[in-house]
Amino acid sequence: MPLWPTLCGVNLWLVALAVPLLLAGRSPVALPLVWASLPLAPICLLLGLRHRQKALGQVALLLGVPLLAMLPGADGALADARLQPRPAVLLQVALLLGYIASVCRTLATELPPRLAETPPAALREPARSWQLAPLKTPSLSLRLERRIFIQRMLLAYTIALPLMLLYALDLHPENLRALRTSFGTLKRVAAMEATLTALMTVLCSVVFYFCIMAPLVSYLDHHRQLRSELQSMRRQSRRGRPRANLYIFMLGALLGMILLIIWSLRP
Amino acid sequence: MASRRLPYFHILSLLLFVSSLVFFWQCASHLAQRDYVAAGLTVLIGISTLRVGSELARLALAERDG
Repeated sequence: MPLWPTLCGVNLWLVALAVPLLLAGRSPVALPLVWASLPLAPICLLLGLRHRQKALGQVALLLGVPLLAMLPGADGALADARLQPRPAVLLQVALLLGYIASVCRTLATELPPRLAETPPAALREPARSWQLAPLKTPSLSLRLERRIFIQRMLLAYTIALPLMLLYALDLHPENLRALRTSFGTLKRVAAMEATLTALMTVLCSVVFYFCIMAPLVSYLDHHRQLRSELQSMRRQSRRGRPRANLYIFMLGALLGMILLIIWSLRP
Repeated sequence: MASRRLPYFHILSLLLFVSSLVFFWQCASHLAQRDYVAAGLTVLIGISTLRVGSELARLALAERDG
């Protein structure tokens, strides 16, 4: 059983669900449904780790365990600030990130079971008369180095920008003070923070998908779609006649100018 | 023939690109005055001018390719 996913997963379950539930255990707020969902996350972790080579096991590890460990904690009774203080929430976020990173790393680096358990006959005993030596890696060209640098910068950007926005929304003291003065009670401020964080998450996902992943996927596809679009544009341009867009945008610009003049002449 | 060689579409599209920048500049000044309607209209004009410029640049490319 891999160490880091197990360690992070168990700790996530403890911090997010088990400890708040035990702290609330003697009070009447603890619901029986939440108690019943307590063992689901470790069971899901165990099953997911055992069957991690199958798609279902990977889904259980990447989605099932975080959801089963964190969703019951969002229940109204457990979402009390005394049961889940801010340091504990930060610890939960750190553990969640660590868990997802370690699971992804484990899934990416492990061999498929057939290769790991039963290597082919040719691989069981190395040929003694052959001399095995690693292949020499060719030095990277300047163009490739530049491309790798840009992709690393994109990776850093995709991590740094959401983290910065998350800090600005949920942890920046001046922003929290401004929210408190605008919305008054702590519950309304927390609701507003949650809404803004959800909106920010959706925005970051959309930007990531359309502005970062789409060009990278297009690059892997050797820009096939872009090249076909360019060819069709070139064919259209060779006709020597402007497209309808020219007239539409000219009309838009004229209309905008007329409206601007009317707006500026208002009494 | 000399008039055909004048890069008419090149010059016109360049002028339109520059003028769209002027509209965006105007938009920033409207925003500074908190006149959001005028700023929105200026953005609309700027984007339309930019698109007209791009269409003319396309025509210029077609003219160059012959």
